[in-house]
Amino acid sequence: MFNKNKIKSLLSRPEFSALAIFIFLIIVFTFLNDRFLNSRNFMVILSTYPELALVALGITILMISGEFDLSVGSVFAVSPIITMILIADYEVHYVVSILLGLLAAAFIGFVNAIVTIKFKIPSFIATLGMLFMARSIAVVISGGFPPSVPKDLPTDWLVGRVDMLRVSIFWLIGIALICNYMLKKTNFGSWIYATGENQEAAKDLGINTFRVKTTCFMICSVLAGFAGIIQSFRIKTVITSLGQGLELQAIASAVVGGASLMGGIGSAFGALIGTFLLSIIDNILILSRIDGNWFKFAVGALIVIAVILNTLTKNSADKIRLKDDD
Amino acid sequence: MKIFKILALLLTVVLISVPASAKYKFSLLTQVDTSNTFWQGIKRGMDDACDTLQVDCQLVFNQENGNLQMQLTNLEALVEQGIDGISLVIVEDNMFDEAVQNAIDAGIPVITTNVDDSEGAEGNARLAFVGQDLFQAGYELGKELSKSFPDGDTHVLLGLSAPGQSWAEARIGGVRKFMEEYKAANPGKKVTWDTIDSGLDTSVTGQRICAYVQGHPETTAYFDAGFWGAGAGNCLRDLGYKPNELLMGMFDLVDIVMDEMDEGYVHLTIDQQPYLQGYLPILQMYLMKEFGLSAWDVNTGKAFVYPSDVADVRKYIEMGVR
Repeated sequence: MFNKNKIKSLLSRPEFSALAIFIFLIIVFTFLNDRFLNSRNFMVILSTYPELALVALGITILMISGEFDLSVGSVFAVSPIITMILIADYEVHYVVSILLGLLAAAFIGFVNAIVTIKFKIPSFIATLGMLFMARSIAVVISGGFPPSVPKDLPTDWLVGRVDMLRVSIFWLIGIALICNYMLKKTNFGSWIYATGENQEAAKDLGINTFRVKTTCFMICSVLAGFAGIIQSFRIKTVITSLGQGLELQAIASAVVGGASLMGGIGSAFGALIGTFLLSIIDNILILSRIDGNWFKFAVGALIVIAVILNTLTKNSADKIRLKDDD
Repeated sequence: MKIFKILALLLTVVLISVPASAKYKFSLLTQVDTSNTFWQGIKRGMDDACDTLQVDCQLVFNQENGNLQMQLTNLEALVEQGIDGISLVIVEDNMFDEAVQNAIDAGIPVITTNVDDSEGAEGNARLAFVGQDLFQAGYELGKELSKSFPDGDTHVLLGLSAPGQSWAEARIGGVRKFMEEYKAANPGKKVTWDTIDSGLDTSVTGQRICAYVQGHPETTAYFDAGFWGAGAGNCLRDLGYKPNELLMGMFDLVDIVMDEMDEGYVHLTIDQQPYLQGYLPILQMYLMKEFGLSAWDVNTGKAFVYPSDVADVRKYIEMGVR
């Protein structure tokens, strides 16, 4: 009985199948390629991982509340462009510039929420519109040529190296822990799950679903903006195409990590695992010398397999639960 | 009602701000969206030509990057409107044939810019091409960088930024052609190469290059179909690669390429002079309309830029003309 409960509990966790595939791929590839499981390879993977994972984390929280955000890729560009323009062209202190860049991201999230909730427009459409508008804003405010990142800009506190890792990984860990605490241990977290699972029932329980969703939209945008700032600090350049296509990657990471497209299901840990799995898949395909023309097919196929396994494990958990109830 | 009043006011402001009608109206159509940094250089060239010649111009970006049907629809709409001249990018050989022929039949001059039908004038009714010979440029990039290949075996990584898109296939095809010749010319050396989907994002491309070279440390050089490979400088340093340890050759002049040339991680780039690709089609169409002159082909992309050129080139980049 104890073992059965354990198995049921494990299978019903949304991130279980992603974790299982992740472990499986690591074991298989460690045997197939002796350069896969070495610190240098993981250093390469981890250098961009925090940026992708932060966006996936924001999307996951929003998806749990039952909404989507397709504008994260554009916000990923807008925040660093605003930040860099303030630093380079207006000589505003970099901390203030970053905060203003994040404020702009929060505002975009707020607009997304208002358009989606007040006008009752599906967030898929509302944020699709914002995807275009925010990208256009990024081009317009920079005139197509964002300023260069100043060479003397202090970036170590955000992206500096600590042995094999970058500081950004610690920012990610800290933010993920806060998000996990918020989702699992606070009333607000419960309200997010309740709103995503059944909005009308949540309203009947007295939950202010408008406030919950608006906050989730803003968290999602701010995390995307912060991730964009991290990336621009790391690669020391800002271009207007920064983060293009990132929205689909972030949604894929969230879904692979167990978040439900219908809302009410997902976890911060799942977002981290989902992103790591997609990064590992990318890395494996490169190391395998997969022909360039087949690359996207292989990535797509692995995502589909991960989601199918997710569904199968969830069904298995449900069957065990039903048998127990009998 | 208040919102309608505001909209009416905005519309009035927009209409008032439209300049008086110019003698000619020209449009330039691309398949990319506004966020493509490279295209801002083309736009700058077009805007300058239009200011100088006092003609009305519009650069028609796509809402969706790479959506060719959207570009074709825009082209057909412009032909229907009876515009005075069209410049466009052709990244697919057959899709635009009929629409371009219709434009030519309607007396609208069409000049391709940046990327041409791979069969050139044989494959499309356009009157001229202003841009880089992409295949030849790839070949030349390979040939020039090979002068720095170290003795011993050579293993090269080819970064196909956008599999299936003719510009990327042509450039990397050119490099591959050179590598085949290089292999044949050096029977005593083991010469190999791999092609990966390197992506169209500086960060993604950088990570893929670094993942590959750490897994295949025998890699001698990397060739990128665009400029995104410059994103590898950062992680190569993380991996402990010294400047000049991995040779890198690519295309175009953007900040990050110049920065990595300064750092010693990019060794050669080919400038295709986007400013000219915006300026010259407008100039040609103006001369055709005004004086009945004919269009002419221009190869804008033969300029090698080495790390020693960076200081000189930077001032033009800052002006937005290179």
